Amino acid sequence: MRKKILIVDDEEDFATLSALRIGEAGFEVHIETDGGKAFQRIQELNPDAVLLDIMLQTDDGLSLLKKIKKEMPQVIVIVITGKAMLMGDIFKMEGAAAFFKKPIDVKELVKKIQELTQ
Amino acid sequence: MAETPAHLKIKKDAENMRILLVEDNPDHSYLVRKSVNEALRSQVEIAESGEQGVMRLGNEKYDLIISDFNLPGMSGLEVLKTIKEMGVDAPFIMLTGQGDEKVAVSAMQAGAYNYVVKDDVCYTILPRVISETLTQFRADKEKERLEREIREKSEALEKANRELKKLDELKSQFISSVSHEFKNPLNSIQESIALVLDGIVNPTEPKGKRVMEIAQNSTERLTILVNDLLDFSKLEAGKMKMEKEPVDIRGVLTEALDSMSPLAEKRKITLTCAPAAHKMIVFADPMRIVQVLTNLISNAIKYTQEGGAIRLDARSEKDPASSLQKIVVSVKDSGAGIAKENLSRIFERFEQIKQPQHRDLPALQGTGLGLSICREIVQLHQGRIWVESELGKGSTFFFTLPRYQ
Ligand SMILES: Nc1ncnc2c1ncn2[C@@H]1O[C@H](COP(=O)(O)OP(=O)(O)OP(=O)(O)O)[C@@H](O)[C@H]1O
Repeated sequence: MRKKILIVDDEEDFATLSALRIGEAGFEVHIETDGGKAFQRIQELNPDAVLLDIMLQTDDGLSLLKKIKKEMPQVIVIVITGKAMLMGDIFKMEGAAAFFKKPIDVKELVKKIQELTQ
Repeated sequence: MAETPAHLKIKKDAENMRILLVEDNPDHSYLVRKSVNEALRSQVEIAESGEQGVMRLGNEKYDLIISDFNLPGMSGLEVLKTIKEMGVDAPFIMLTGQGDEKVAVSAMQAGAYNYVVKDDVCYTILPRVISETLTQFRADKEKERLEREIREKSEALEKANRELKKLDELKSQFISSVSHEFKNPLNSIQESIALVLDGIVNPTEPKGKRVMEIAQNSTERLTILVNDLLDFSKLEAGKMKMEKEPVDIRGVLTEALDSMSPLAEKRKITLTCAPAAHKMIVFADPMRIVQVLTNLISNAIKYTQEGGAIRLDARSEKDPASSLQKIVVSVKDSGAGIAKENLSRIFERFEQIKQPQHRDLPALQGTGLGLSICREIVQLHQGRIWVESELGKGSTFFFTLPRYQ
């Protein structure tokens, strides 16, 4: 069965582009651009992994990360951020499996997803 | 003209003074008054007791106070201390008895400027003592003033320094955020091309088309960024030339409206302009004014929800200061509005106030330079730009241009 990935990012362009390459690698990819709806979407989909943009405008990405790890600890979360200042360590501490800084090399991202979902 | 000798100058300074003498002995009062009147042509008023002296000093202003130490009620020293507490700001000369050095010392300690020992010659030297005291007092005052001025100046310098530092910080922040702004669209373009080259999408199919659109949006965004930066550096270097000509502002408004309409339509915002029936000729660089307008309109679109409205307007007005006619152009939106505390900041360089905006129109994202460029352009037209806004209700940006006479 194909593994399910959910991209939570309010930058639709970026989400679309990464979704295409991730899909090509054999994953079933979904996109959620509304941070406020993200958690509900995760509960419905029960994805194997979530790519979470931490700089969401509608919701605070960090608290979303905490909520996912508390209520659905089996979901792998990969944190993505546009802000260079934010430290990856914090997200790892909160249970993120990996941390990417924009601009992202999508091929690297796919590799990481493959590695983590094996 | 020959210079006035120093001693005469001092005397001149001491002339026409209002002097209060606190003295209970009428003979002494008479002598003091006589000598001062003759030598200094100054008015001497007399208080016959310490209490009376204090009362007068509470009600009126004197240039100098002379007081006998030995008074029936309140002593001269008590008078001095009391008026110091009252904040009376005039030099004080104490008259002491012979052999009364202790009194003299305590008077000086309490803030007297000078003392004179009462003897037969004291009345003849008094005018000189008075003028010296006044000179000293004035010099002290001047010194205080200068010190205050220096303090104020150095505070102002420190403030300017802090502001420069802040500007420097903002500049570094700006450079790092701008390089970031460049990287993201570049990354999108690269990824779009890679998706096609790697055969993941095909540009002739819908998915591939979408990818190409994303690449196109990103190039548009880069173009805007580069243009903003170029304009900004030109303005900073004072190299932007305005090519001013007489032009009907209504045509300028229409041009800006036409170029922004598609974007407004995309966001389902009504963009209107109700031009006046009569011509309004301004003396301006039409291209640059279109630039200011498109910038203001694109901000308005960016911060206005779907279904909102943006209205352009221009009216003629008399400048109350110069009584010259000027044109006031306005861009009014029904959008998010701006918090009071940010109203003046938004025109500053590099200042970007984070607030929810619509990111689905990438062509609208900017550098935070937009408004500062607008301000510079308007100022190069001897105009003024400002905003009136209420949170949640919308904002109106205004700018003025000189009317062509
Ligand atoms: N019409 C408006 N309604 C509400 N806020 C506004 C409006 N126009 C400007 N602002 C505020 O003023 C700030 C500065 O605007 P400015 O145009 O200088 O930068 P920007 O919009 O971030 O980028 P750009 O360079 O694309 O204009 C914005 O970040 C925004 O918070």
